[in-house]
Amino acid sequence: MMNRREALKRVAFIMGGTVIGSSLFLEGCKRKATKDVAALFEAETTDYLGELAEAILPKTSTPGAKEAGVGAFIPVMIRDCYDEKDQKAFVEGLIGVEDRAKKEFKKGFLELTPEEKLQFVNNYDKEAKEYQGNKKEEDANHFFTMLKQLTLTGFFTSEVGMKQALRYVKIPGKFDGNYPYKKGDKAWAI
Amino acid sequence: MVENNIYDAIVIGSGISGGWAAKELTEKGLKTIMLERGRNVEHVKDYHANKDVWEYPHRGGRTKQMEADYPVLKRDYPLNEKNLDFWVNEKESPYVEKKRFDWFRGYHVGGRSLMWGRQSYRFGDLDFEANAKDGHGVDWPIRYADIAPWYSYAEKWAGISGNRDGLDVLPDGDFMPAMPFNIVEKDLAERLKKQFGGSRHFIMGRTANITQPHTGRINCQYQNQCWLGCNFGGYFSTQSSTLPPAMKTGNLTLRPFSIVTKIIYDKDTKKAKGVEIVDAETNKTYEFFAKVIFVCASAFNSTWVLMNSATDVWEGGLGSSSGELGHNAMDHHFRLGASGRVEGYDDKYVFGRRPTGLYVPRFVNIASDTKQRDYVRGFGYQGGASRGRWSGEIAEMAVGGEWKDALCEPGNWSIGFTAFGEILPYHENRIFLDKDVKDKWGLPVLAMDMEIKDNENKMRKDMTEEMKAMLESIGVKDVGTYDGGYNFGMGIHEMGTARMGLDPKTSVLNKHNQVWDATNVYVTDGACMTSAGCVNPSLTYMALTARAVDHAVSELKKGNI
Repeated sequence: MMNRREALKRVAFIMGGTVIGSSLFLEGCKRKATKDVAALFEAETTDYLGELAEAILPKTSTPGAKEAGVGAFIPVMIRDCYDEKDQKAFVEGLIGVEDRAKKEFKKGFLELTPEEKLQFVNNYDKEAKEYQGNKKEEDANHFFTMLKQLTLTGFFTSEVGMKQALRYVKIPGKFDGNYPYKKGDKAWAI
Repeated sequence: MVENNIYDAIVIGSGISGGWAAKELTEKGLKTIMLERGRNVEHVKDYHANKDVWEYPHRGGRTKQMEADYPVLKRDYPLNEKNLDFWVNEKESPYVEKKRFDWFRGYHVGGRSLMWGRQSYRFGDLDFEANAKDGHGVDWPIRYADIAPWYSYAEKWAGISGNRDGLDVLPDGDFMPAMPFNIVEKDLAERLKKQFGGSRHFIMGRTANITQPHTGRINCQYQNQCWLGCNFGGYFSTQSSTLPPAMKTGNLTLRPFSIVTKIIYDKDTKKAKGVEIVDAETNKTYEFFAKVIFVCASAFNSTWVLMNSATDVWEGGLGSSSGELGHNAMDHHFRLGASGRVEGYDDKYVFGRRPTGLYVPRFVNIASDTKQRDYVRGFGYQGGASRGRWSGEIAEMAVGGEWKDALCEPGNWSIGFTAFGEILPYHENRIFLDKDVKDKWGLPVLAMDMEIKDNENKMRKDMTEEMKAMLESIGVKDVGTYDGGYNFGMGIHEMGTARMGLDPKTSVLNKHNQVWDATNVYVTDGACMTSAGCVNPSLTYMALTARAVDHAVSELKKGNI
């Protein structure tokens, strides 16, 4: 038997034409922040977060944020390391992504071309910087600022990020303070 | 089974000083019990070095729950997900802040020797004569010549790497080969030497990381993850260096979960008979007896033990007859400095993570061109040059594939330093027992009542400006200063509160670290310090401890204690 939540998901799927059907997007911020944060862990949401993160740090000659597992990392951090005000701002911001994409490109975020995704996150980034520069101390952080910071942290502390996008030698065994470098060589992860 | 409770020697605490006391006492044939208030931490087995950052759910960061559980630790860098179990449980062991005091403690076998900064410098006569010369505090009862052979002794066993720099202000020692400079540091050090005619120096930080295999330990592997515990024994800790030889003698009993509540004092003999402990797990009380007691519980906790002892004879506790027990608390003030960008060296990088940096020995109030400061004493700097990652935020488009690829390349070279300054021994900077607040075991806790004053605040202005001027003079670009603010305790170099001196009326300990009021009690950790100097103090505790054990054993043989 299909329960209410599954039914709602299905409706969302048909209406939005996207996989964003998690309960978070249906019920959104009418609920308590803690409940919304729990919803961030639903598979559809972590996948969606992974796509957003991928737009910020996409696959190039090295893997991007999605492959590095950033989508699953973000909810853990939002739940455990952010205060309720920022949690709420994050959840609300995430729910607003679809509307924003539709307004800018007349389609959902996941349907955007790579070029459009880049433009989308770049516009978002500029707006977030403007907001952060003017906000009062007690105001919540901007959704995109949190998303971007967590994407960077999550990517550059992931095994994929540290070993493939950067270089990582766990036990160097020696120190060379005059080590050659040529343009294009990757940085050390730590 | 009845626990043996009679030993030749008791050591309270198992950190840097306690470990040394145990090693020296047992090697000299004394049956010794080392009492540690916290749990055991076994070498390698209980370390965290195998784990990579991605294996932590918060990638080594701090959660809201951690911040709630560790309201003191969160005030600075130590609160993190990786070695959280090396830091004290603050709810079990509270303290009172009459004035703000940031106390970063490690209550377990090895104490803070597991997480220490490892910078190891000798005090020189510049330090030992300072109080006598400018009149602050009381004179040290020893001079450099008294402790120099013991510095050598401690360095040779602990394994200190460094250069013999031949500087008057900073005595050389018995070092292993130093870790290398990187190319930028090497060039800038030469420029600085020329610029200041040899009166200021960038030297390689002398560190308790070994650069050659030593006493069964493997040399440093340049991971720079020391505070997680080192599987190679690459840095000095109780576990890597002093506990193994002590255990090997067969003379050591290590008893974790043993909170010493008091030293048992005998009025008739005017000596200590032993100690009373509460077992931290069972809350049961036990007594242990010995001929000699080494108090190495970390500076302020050593004084706490004295304050709780012999209170039927002296209200303020053992060693309080001078009126100085608990007074003259010190630390090093820091968290300020300067940094800038180094041009060029685009074709240079480093391999490996060196667990030390550059050191700039004190130069103020020494050299003729800087003699006339409006404060006394001085400061040193720790820092270094490095090639960091590109920050990325200045980019026109700070998202996307091109940006990501650029983020994965190194950025500019930069160089930066943090200053560490001396705090004077002010009588009014003190700790005392607050009997209204109790810890988990119902014991009174320490209240902290201390602050930095005019001399330190004047020094702080110089600490940023001098480095800015130095860096600019050797061609460093965009030099900026910073002052992150300092609260007493943040240096994690607590010193004083049971100072050594020449006179029992003005000091707690004599020149051999014996409590004037009970000569078979030795205090050899940071509590004994008569002044703070500006260099990292732990090497001095090692040397003083070895020296004091040598004295104690010879006094025992002579029947003097």
